[in-house]
Amino acid sequence: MARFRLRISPGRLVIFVAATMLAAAFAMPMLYAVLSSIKPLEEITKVPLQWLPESLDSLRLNNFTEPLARNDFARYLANSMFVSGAVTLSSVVFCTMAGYSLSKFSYFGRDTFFMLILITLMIPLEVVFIPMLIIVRELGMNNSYWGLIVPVMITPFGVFWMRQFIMTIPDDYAEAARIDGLNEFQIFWRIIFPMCVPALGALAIFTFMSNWNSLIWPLIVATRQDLWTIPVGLVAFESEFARPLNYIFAMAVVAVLPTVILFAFLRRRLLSGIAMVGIKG
Amino acid sequence: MRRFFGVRPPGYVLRLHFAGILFLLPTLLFAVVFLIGPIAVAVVYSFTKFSMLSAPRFNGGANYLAIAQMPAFWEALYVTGKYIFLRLAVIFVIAFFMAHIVQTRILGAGVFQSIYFLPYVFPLAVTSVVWKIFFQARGLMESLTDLLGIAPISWLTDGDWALVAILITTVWSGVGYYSIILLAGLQTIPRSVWEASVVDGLTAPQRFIYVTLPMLRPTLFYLLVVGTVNTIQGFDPFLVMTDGGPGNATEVIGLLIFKQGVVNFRMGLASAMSVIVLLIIFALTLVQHRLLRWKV
Repeated sequence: MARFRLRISPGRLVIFVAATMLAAAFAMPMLYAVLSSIKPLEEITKVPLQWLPESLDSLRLNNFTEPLARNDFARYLANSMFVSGAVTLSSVVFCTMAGYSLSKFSYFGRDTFFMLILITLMIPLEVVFIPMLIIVRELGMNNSYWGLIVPVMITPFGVFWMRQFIMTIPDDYAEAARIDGLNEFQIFWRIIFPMCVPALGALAIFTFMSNWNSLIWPLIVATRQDLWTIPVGLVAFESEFARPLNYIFAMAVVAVLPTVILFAFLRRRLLSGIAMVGIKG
Repeated sequence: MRRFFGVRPPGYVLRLHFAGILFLLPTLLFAVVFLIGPIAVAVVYSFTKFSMLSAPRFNGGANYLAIAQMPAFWEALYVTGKYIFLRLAVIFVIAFFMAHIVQTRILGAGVFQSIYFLPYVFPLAVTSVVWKIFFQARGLMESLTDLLGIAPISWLTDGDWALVAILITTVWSGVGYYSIILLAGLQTIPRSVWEASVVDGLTAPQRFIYVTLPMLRPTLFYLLVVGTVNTIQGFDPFLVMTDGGPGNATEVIGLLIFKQGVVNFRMGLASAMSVIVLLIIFALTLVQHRLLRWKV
């Protein structure tokens, strides 16, 4: 059966029309927000609501530059980049190490520990953030980058994901390397880790996105404004009394840009990763 | 190695044990402090009165007693349950349609899929901020209701509509993700099963009920449990858009814990609430485990 043969039938036409309408409904808010991000404030608040900027002259790029420079959004952006990047890096390394250990070595307590990881997989930080805060304060990490990074630097999901992947790598590679005289660290770093790149890619995207997007934990662990991330900064900015809508829209566009770019370039891998998690549980 | 030398060199097994544990060590330490730690701390502190300012004081089951008599807690559980049910119900319907669109490979299916999925990659907090503006008076939503000839709805300040407004926001933001998983589930159904059902003369709705749904059971259960946990977890829109209001109309459990713990500094009480939510999540996971007889 030809996969891409153009088939036209009334049923398919109905689906196409419905799909288009749904897509329009989904795209509309994004489009409006993006358009509003380059309009002056007077045009956003105008009644009746208008979509397009009135003229090219009224376009406002300082909707972006003003809050980035004056309202610390450049700082929030840098914080988000740094925290998400650091968490992604550490997650990739440590989850792979743990996944390797849990799949290719046998020792006392291994399976018990893996069960434990599976159980904690279901517990979101957003449910235990209060006890987490108590621990982080006890360790003296609150109001520091440590507090933003360390409590999320390894995820049970990442460990699970990497273990499942490394299980599919035959033992022979490590055995052969052992015979060739590589030590265990070299085997991991030169043989196993490079072989994990496909799974690591998906893990890195997931980890980066979920940290870039998180609000609750950064909000409660960092009360100092110079530690705020983009979501925290934007929420705080919006809740101020005289909040300029044009700045909010512009900063919202800035805040979604990194993950949108990631999605644009890594669409296939991201979607197939999600599908795989769904099927394999 | 045995294959080559007949015996393993001395210390081989022990060395492997050691290496294995060494690789696990960072994760083991992390898990003790940041995965098990919070659960243990939640349980212990749930029996204390603790405000962060003074040392925790053991107060027996007073927190649990207080929760049992606290209407706000039960209301929050009710609102959370209602929200989860409505959100997942709407999501399932739309996500099924989206998955169907991609599966039938109509013109532009890939583009449609990208558009539906895109809101999922936005930070939920940012989505909430923007939609809050959309729902305000003279905002985008009002221009739409005007267009349809409906009287303006005060979305976020009307107790009947606030939850609906949040539902629209979070369905928009999340449904693409569910449709991807549903699609993956649909694609695991063998073609032969579809063809057999066509040969047997099943109509499309019959096929959906008697073939698709049963074959999708593992995926559906997965989505149900993950969707429930994700929905409990994602209380950003409640914090940003309504802060639980008007009244308690949109005070979900996550937000209640947040307010008790972070705003009112009643850490013991908040811990006890966390323990209860944890128990609910554990029960759900167990049910899923049983229903699917997971093999890892």
